[in-house]
Amino acid sequence: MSMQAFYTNIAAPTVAEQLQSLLRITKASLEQVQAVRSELAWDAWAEAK
Amino acid sequence: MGTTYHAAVQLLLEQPAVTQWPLLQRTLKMADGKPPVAWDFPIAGCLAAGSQESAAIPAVAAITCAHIAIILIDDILDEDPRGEYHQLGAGRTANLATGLTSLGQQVLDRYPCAHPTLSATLYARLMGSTAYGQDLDVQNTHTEEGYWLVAKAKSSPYFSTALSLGGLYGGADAKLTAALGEFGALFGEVMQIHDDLNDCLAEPANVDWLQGRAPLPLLFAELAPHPQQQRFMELRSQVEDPAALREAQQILVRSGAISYCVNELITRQHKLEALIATLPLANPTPLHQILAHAIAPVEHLFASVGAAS
Repeated sequence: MSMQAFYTNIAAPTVAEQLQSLLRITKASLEQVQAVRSELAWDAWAEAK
Repeated sequence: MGTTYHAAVQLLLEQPAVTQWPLLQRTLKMADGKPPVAWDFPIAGCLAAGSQESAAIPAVAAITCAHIAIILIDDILDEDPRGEYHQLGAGRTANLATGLTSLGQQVLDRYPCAHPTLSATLYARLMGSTAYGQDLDVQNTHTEEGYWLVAKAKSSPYFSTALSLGGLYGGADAKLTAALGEFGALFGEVMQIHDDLNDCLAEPANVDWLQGRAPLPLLFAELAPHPQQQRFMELRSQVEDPAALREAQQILVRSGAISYCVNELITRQHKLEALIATLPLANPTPLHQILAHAIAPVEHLFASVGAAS
């Protein structure tokens, strides 16, 4: 990663927030993730295929 | 499903190539009740370019033919138990797919837009690229580079062509048509990632697990140097056992495989948003709607785990 890219990343609070959000997914239970799958759009996409 | 889709199927049913071929006729009549994924993308492209929905009918018809042909072949290659080839045999099914491919070309030719050569080229590229992507896919290369190559070749052209063909029929010039194609191609990658997430989290184990395939979350868990990589590889071949599948799926969550896929979705969401902002669209709403629908599962997942989206 270039210095410019690194600075851009740390200067953008949304990037840090996004990483925190992605980290929270890794702490979620399988059931939580699967619930989203069955409740909403991932299944809908599959049905439409 | 709108009346435009029904009108497109009716247009196909009127074609001489269909009236003389009962199997083709039956296939299209069945399709009338079950529109393909993104059947309305040509409408979105047409509206975005500033025209009316009805102008997209030939493009919807061609895309419908392309989709049915692609699925017929894909099911043979995937040995999908739902595949039509179980009833017809592989030979007749492949032949039917050829007939449908040709029918799509004939409709574009018979009901031309302002740029008939470009529409014919886009359609030919769709079928050619998808065939290449399907061939790459069955070779099942377990590499990051191979994954994206297949996604770009197999998944993107359909969405790209559906949107750009619709744009052409809505009066878009070559430059806007190409930009709509770029939007559709990126969206195709989004669709592929969604599809992979869906398949990996299914219970019982989906064919992606059972046939040793490498959808994106499984590829991440195989290749990324996370602490449970070895355990994941052991479980990979035992997923017919529900307990092994569950443990493997838990590793997908904990290792960051799901997060990685979500990050790839967000990256593309941002690119798509930036692209919409730069396009000289008469009506950007259809593209915003496509994007909102595509990103809804991510927002739902973030909300579910108490994270900001």
